[in-house]
Amino acid sequence: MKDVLKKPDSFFSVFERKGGPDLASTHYCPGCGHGNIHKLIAEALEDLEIADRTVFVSPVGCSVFGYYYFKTGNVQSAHGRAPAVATGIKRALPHSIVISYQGDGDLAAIGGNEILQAANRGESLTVIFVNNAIYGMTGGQMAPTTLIDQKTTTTPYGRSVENEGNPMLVAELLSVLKSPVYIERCTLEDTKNIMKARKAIRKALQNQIDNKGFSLIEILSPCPTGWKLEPVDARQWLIDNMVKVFPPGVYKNDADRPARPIKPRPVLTAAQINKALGHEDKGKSAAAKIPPGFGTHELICAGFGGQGVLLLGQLLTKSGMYEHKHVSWLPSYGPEMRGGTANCHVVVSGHRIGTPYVTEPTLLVAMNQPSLEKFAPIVRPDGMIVYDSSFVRDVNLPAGIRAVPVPFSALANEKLDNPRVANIIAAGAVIGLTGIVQADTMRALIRELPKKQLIEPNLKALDVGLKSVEHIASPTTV
Amino acid sequence: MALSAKPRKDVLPEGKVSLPENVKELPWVIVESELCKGCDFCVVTCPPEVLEMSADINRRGYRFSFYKGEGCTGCGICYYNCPEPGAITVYRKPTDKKEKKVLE
Repeated sequence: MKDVLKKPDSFFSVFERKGGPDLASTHYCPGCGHGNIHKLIAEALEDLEIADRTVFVSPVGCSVFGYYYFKTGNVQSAHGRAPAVATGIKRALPHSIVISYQGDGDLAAIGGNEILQAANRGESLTVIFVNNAIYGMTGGQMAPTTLIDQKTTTTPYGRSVENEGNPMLVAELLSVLKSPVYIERCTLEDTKNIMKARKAIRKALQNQIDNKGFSLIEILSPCPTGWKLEPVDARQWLIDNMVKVFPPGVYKNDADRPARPIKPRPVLTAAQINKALGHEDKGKSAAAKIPPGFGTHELICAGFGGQGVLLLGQLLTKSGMYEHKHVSWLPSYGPEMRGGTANCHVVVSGHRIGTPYVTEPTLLVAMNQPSLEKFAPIVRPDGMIVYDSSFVRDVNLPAGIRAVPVPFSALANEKLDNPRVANIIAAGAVIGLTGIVQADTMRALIRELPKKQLIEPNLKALDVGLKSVEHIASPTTV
Repeated sequence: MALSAKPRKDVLPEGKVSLPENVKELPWVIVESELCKGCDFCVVTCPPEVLEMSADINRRGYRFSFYKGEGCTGCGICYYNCPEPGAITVYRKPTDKKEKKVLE
């Protein structure tokens, strides 16, 4: 018996990731079963001393913010895909404890096949399936587990067998499979059953510690908000309605089976991987080819969607790769596809790259006014800004930063009669100013472009770009 | 919601757990009023009925439960019924095996 029943240490003491003024309590509604289940899991992680090797995979649904609370590894997965993500984690880290925590909309609807396949493969996972017979987060729509005659926003006259079919019985469904080791359905209707759920969660985690295989605990949980009931009445509704359709009990228990063997993972060297990929390095080692003293160039290339800023970044990155430098390319799509700025982060370095995300660029390539305004303030004090002066009118740059105006678009129109090559002119200017890659490498790369009719204009554009900055001395030109 | 002014009796083994000042005796239950969302689960499930819902509301607009200051058996039922991780802490008498049924 514990002397003190308190918030388990496998929760964060302060939920800093939650943000906002209230960092001490969860985001769940009053009476929500997620809180109870979180507590039971956190307590089990603490008591079994596995929190430091646990990865908690959150779903889409109300529990999407699992990473606010659990002091474990956390991954938030796409809707319904938690079992697939959990499988990947478990296979890469066979000694970790992976919990896939899912609601009924996530697991039984969009993720129906994911859970079926994971269970059938017998992955050594612990799945906590929270069944509240409704889509909670999106505002009370019908879920696969919604009861017959239950009114939801999408079944305003009640669910009917003819139209929506019968409630999905997940525990029953999965228990007919051979592979799962342990499947139990619990409810949060009263203290006795909460304690049963507590025991079941522990057992499911113990099965994973012993590497027995797939365990799933389905927990019937109240959703007072979605059901439009007071919390205490919601529990009564659970007893009166849900439990009859979803009978609690152990549906499968095969915990006496032997543990699954953990296959030792081969540790491959870089040379072995290159050989397997057909990239065998015939000459010197890659590292030896990086010019001594070559530092780290962190670029943001930004402009309108359609100006080719992503390709610009890609060409610089690939050129760096061909020269055996360390490179990364991180494009930003999103709503900016329609107007605004499209951008990519590019890192070309003589050293291993920690993150592809550029917070303080050494060089900003701005192809339009909004990009210049957006990114100029974060350029490093000793950094440089190259911008398309044919588009940019008001220049209000941070003091002390070297700015090079080049009319990329005007040059493309005047010299090459092709506005689409402005990005390659910019690439030429970047090479001329910084020397992060060699012009010849990029020429070779341009010759590999799939559209043959673009090769010549692009090669010419590169030269125009190199020439456009010829008069500007650069200390870093290689 | 005045707490009872009984003298404090530390019966926990020395140095094992430091009790907060507002724990007057063991067993004792503390409800963090600012974390409580007023769901009522602890109040309706408490066997000796020693928890009560406040008439006031906390900063977030919820009524909150509180311990009346007498009669807690340390069973832990409120703790496991409470959905909020940090809202309820139960301080129990560790050595008393003769207690009524206590939750693990």
